Amino acid sequence: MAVTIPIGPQHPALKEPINLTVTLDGEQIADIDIRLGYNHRGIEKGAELGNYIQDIYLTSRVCGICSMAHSTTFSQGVEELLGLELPKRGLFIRTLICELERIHSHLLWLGIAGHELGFDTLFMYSWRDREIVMDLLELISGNRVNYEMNTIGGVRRDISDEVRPQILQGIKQLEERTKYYLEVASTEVTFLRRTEGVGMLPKEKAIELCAVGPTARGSGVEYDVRKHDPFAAYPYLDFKVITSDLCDVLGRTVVRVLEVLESCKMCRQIIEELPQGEIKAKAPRKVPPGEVLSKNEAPRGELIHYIRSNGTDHPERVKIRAPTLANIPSVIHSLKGGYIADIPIVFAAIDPCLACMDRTILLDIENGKRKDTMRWEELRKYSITWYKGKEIRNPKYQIQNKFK
Amino acid sequence: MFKNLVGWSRVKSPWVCHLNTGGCNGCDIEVVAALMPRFEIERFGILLKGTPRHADVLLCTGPITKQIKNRAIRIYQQMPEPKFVIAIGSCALSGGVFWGCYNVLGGIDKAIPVNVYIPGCPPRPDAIIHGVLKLLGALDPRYTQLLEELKGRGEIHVGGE
Amino acid sequence: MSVESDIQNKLKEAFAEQITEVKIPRERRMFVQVPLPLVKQVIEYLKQDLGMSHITTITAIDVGEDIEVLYHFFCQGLTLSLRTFVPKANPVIDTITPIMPGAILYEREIQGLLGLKVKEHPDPRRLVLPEDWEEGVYPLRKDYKVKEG
Repeated sequence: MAVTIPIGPQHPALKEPINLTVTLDGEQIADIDIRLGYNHRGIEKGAELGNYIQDIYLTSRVCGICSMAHSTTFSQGVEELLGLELPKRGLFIRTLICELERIHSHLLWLGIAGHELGFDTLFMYSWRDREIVMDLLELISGNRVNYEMNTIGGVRRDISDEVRPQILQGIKQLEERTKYYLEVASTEVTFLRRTEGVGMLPKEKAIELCAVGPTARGSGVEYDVRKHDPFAAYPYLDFKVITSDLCDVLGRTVVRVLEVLESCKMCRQIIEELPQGEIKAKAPRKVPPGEVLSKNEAPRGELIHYIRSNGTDHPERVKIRAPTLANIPSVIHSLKGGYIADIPIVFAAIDPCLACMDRTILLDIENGKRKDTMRWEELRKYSITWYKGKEIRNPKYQIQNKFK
Repeated sequence: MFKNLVGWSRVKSPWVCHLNTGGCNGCDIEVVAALMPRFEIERFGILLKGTPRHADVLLCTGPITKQIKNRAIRIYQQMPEPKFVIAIGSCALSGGVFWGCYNVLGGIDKAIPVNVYIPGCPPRPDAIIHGVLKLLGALDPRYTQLLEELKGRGEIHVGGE
Repeated sequence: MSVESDIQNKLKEAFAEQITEVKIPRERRMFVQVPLPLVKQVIEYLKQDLGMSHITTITAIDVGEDIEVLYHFFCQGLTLSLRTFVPKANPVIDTITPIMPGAILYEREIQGLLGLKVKEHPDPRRLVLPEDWEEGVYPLRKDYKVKEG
């Protein structure tokens, strides 16, 4: 007898609305189905209504956590359509904000992962350290989230010389704290027990299901848009692509924490080598007809914008494919055969950036009947039979028998 | 007397439930940041609960998408009386950047009644704390005093008031 | 010889006249146009012979009489976009999930948003539109007007 439980769209483990319908066999997951669409706002159609400048603001609100990634991809695409050559200083500042955003996103993820595992101390610590990055971002751009730094042709705000030592100081603090988190991830027993061997995604499956980002890199697939399809200031920067062969949630954690360290290195290099000059190039409002494919490495993976223009100042079509959509088939694969208690952490391990409490439905597969509730007696009998089948004995009953 | 006790506990320690009705998550991470050690809304007794059945206050973000409208109404109905709804962020107020998009209703008050509106894109955690304390201040004047004290200490900066 | 011209030559060898057009706007980008019946064969060739196993997404655009469908693949630093036109009068395409299992969600997306029928799709349910959305109304078609107010 299989039990189907809906999880979401409102659930303490999920920060965004998504509905997972999980078919369980006892505590193991037999099948899982995902219902998307709660966050579907019709942005692609909305982008056709506004002009290119308005669309920068629209695309940066596709996701609050990777807002710079989206607006950078869009601006890059339009600049390519216009054939603009950007000044180097603008490119460097854009890349700095992208990397700071990656740091903030990965620290956010670390906290959420700790929260899903019940490790609230990690949640509190990592979000407190994340405040260092939020302060730096506010110093540079004026807002903690949705920093509108991009414009067609470059960036809107400059980094003055007084601000640079503060940024370097902040990055130094972050590096020390991140090394501490790396130690936690690799030596803390409770953390390891809950993440090792959980949510397995073998390398061949990751390639077949086209996973992207740390989800794929945690399974040994070396694909990072910053290295393989460089854009902005990445050709001038010196960094490694981090992969891990562990193929489980621990692998993805380690990849993300090491990426924070790489990003800190990159930020330091950007600040030290920041070239002088203009921060933006002049851009005309009307874009000649054409099409462009713009790619970016958002904190969650490969992000792609396809823009087609028709000669006016409104785009003809903007297609956005966010990295989480590419990771959904992989998460479905890695959850099957796992345990229900692991759903929050495995689902959180792809770092879902997306956004209902039904009652339990009982499906009697043999008779094809459907009941709406399960009575306590039935549930108790069912659980005892299931655990006996797994040869797990209730220790409480064992002790009682011992003293009889 | 029992009513007074319940009323006192409700105001002294309001439990909140957080609902994201399809937003970009900018406001959601600021809500969670308000609970974190830097801004620490928990010192006012505000606890984040997972279920609306235990909550006094619903913190709502995001422009309501058509898909989630019925669920949001159901969650509102599951909350016990008296209940309050706080709409956080420009999208929750009027649809924000997404006004006019085909799947968006445009503001949470199109589906459920709202008591407090907090504007911003996203509003800073200080602004969220300000809004929550204003709501509580309407129930108990001690919260208005607390708000003034926080402003005096410089923990909440309010411009243009 | 660059990766792009290398692939262009290989495609010419394998498919000769059947390929309508090849555009190389800049390094690491390629646009190849093929007629609709050839799509599955070309994708099979790209995967088996050229090692393009990563599909990034599937874009569909309403261009008046037809719907333009683009499949974006990635390999060796190059992003190759395969373009084909599907007539609106008969908007049917074959599924490519037997060759590329990663395309399963992208095909569901274009089904709902532009009204393309994907033949033999393993799971043709709605992906992003709400349950009470009308059948037959496709928001990303040009004749769908967003209601004001």
